[in-house]
Amino acid sequence: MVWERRMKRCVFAVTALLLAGVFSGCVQGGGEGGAKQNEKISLHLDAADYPRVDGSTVTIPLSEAFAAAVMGKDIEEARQHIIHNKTHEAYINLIDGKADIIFVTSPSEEEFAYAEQKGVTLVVTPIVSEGFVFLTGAENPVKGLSLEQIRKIYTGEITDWSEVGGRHKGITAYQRPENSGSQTGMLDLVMDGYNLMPAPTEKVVAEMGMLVDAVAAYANGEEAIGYSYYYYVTDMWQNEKVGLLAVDGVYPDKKTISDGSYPIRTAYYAVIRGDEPDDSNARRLLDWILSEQGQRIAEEAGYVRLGKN
Amino acid sequence: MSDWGRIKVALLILLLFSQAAFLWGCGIKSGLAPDSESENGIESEPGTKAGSETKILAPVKLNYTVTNPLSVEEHREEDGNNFDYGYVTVSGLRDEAVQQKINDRIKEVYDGLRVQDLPPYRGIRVLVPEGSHMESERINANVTGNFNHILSIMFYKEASYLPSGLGGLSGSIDYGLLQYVSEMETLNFDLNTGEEFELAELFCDNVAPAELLSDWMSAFLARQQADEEQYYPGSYWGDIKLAESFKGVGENQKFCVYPYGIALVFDYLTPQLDTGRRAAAPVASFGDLGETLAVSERFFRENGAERIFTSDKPPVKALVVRNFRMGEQKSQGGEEHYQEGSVSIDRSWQYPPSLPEKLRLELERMTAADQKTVRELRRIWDNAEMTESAEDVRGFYEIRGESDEAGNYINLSRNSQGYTLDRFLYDTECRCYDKDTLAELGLADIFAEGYDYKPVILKAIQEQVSWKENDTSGRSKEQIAEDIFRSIRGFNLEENGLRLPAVDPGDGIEQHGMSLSIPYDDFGCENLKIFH
Repeated sequence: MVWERRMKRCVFAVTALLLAGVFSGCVQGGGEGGAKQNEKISLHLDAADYPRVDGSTVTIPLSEAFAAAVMGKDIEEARQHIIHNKTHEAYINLIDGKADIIFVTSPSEEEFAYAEQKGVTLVVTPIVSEGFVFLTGAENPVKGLSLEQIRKIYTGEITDWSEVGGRHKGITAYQRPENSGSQTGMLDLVMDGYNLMPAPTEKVVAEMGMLVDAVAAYANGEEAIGYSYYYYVTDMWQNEKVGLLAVDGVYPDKKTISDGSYPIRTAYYAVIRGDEPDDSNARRLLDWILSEQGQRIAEEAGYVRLGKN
Repeated sequence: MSDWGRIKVALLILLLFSQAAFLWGCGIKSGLAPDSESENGIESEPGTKAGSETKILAPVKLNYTVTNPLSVEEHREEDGNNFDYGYVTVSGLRDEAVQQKINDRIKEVYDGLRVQDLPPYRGIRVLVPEGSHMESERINANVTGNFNHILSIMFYKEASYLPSGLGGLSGSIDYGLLQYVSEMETLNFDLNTGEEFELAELFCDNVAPAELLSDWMSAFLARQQADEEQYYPGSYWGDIKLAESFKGVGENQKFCVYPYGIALVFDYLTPQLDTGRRAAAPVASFGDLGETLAVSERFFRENGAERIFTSDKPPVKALVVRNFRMGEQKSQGGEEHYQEGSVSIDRSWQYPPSLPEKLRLELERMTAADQKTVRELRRIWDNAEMTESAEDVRGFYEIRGESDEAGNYINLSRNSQGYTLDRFLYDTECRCYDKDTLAELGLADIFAEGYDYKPVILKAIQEQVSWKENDTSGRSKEQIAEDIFRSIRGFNLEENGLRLPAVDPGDGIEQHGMSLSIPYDDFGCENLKIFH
């Protein structure tokens, strides 16, 4: 069955190539998130020598693309050697010496404190850029907001789209669950000390079948505004129905996030312990990630290469 | 034919196939075609494949399914310990060649799972390195859907491993060190031919299944907050996380069919979703997918002349339950907690968002505290001449109201229990409404004209209360059944049968509620209007 499905996938790969040939007349080499065919990768490590990695869920494809390139394996095989235990666990594993390098969002106060308690210095290096973006329904005539307008919407001061150039329609300002990555991003990167108004809620079925109030999930529409990280909305399903909002006149895309002109930016990081030897494979991997080749592979995996930010 | 000729033919076939794949991938616009006027699709031949000249057009109402009269036999191979394997075979098809073909395919998949190495999940070589011991392994094959000439089977395989050097089969195990891996394989057969069908064939020809299911999955992932690492209330499927943006359901999506929906299987073949090292299978209910499904038309015609089964018994039918109680089902409702004298009252009600306003209000009214019960609870306590303060809570009264849909009907139900000291007071009430008119139905309304349903209900009551043969009141079994029959408080239409709440008045103050469930087949589905 599995073999059969793989064969089907091969057939689809062949037909995709054929179609590409028919419609574009050219074939681009290179695999999913991997290096271009026959390209020499400047760092090679066998699976046995590859550093013990860990990380956030959002950096899984990044980590897998790096491993595939450096191990010289296809992505499906390399994937089996990579495990990410989510952000907090990854930090703990790094500090406890159970991982050599982690690909994560920025460390929390709690994680810094744990490192200090264990006498570990964290070397935190940005490896790809990221943008914090706002979404609305594609039919909404409002195509951009200022950072100040966004803050006023989320403090409850602006409640109707007509106040920001749109049609007369109430704004449903969706939020994310407390302590989630996106909600933390909203507070740290956008609100800058302003207080968020209470989030819209909805009933959900929780344990034992009981109904509880939960933060309402984003439901696309002209009245809606929500937020996420650029990585999660790139090429997502229904992109034609969801509009990304320009902020302070700058539309979020790979170029504006990378060159720093989009105003709400963050990054994903590689973190190693300060006592990692200079010639260790973890440091060699990090150096390679920051190289032109490493950055290109990150970009091919769907992330935004480092720029000025 | 020359080699070059064969190559040209192969290339032509490949090109045609790739164009078809391309067009399937692009899909047509979701929703209904502008010229689709049919109430329930159009005439189509059983066994008609999607894309043939005979089209099945949405909207198609799917209120009930007809169970295939197949026998399913389970075959188990086990060592009595941690290794347990099973598969199924089916019988009951007239065409033995088709039956054999199906059983051979089931066995083939089973045999493949028996010998298969580790499924290639992400991180598996880290957690289960070479030299690890397999501590347990089991394979189960479940028939998930067996209706309308569709047979759907899901294999579930789970294995646990212990990394080398950490003990093993012969020694004691730290179960916290075990690594569990699971996978699912599915088979979906058209019983007319024994061929496996594609996901798209479950849908009408004027809908784009990939688009429809991708929309459903996209909304599902948003509800799960799948782009966040943590779990939140309502994240029933919290083990499905996005590793990247969701780009839609793929053309090779694994699936199986239930009588109430379509399960989409996500595992190592769908790395855009991180499911750990387990397969996950959320179910898109038929209610969620609207009137886009061709499961009542594609392979089956209810009054058709074809007889593909050996059984001559009348068909057994089941209502399609639209708001099945799964944890991820979004729901609406309310709750109230207050105290009346010494009685603490706790009432709550839940319903699907689609419930009409009139019935929402009715459900809320049904869950109001019954003052007679409150008074009785207080009286029992007061008569006990207890010395504690009357302000203390000494009685509890819980009332729960629920609503769901089955076929073209809406059920409301109320269950309550009050208790104080050693006394319990139970009560259940059910109501059933026509979804189109919102008119409440009586029992007589659901049966064919002239059909006498009472003997079947009396027989079911007698079977349920057979332990009352030595009834101290001196009533005969027939009299007890009559008493209970008269106490019936409404009914609900469930998937496979009628639910009737009742009590035995002969129990006096000790009366306990009972819930009779009578399969539709006991009445004969031909005698029930709900299947007409």
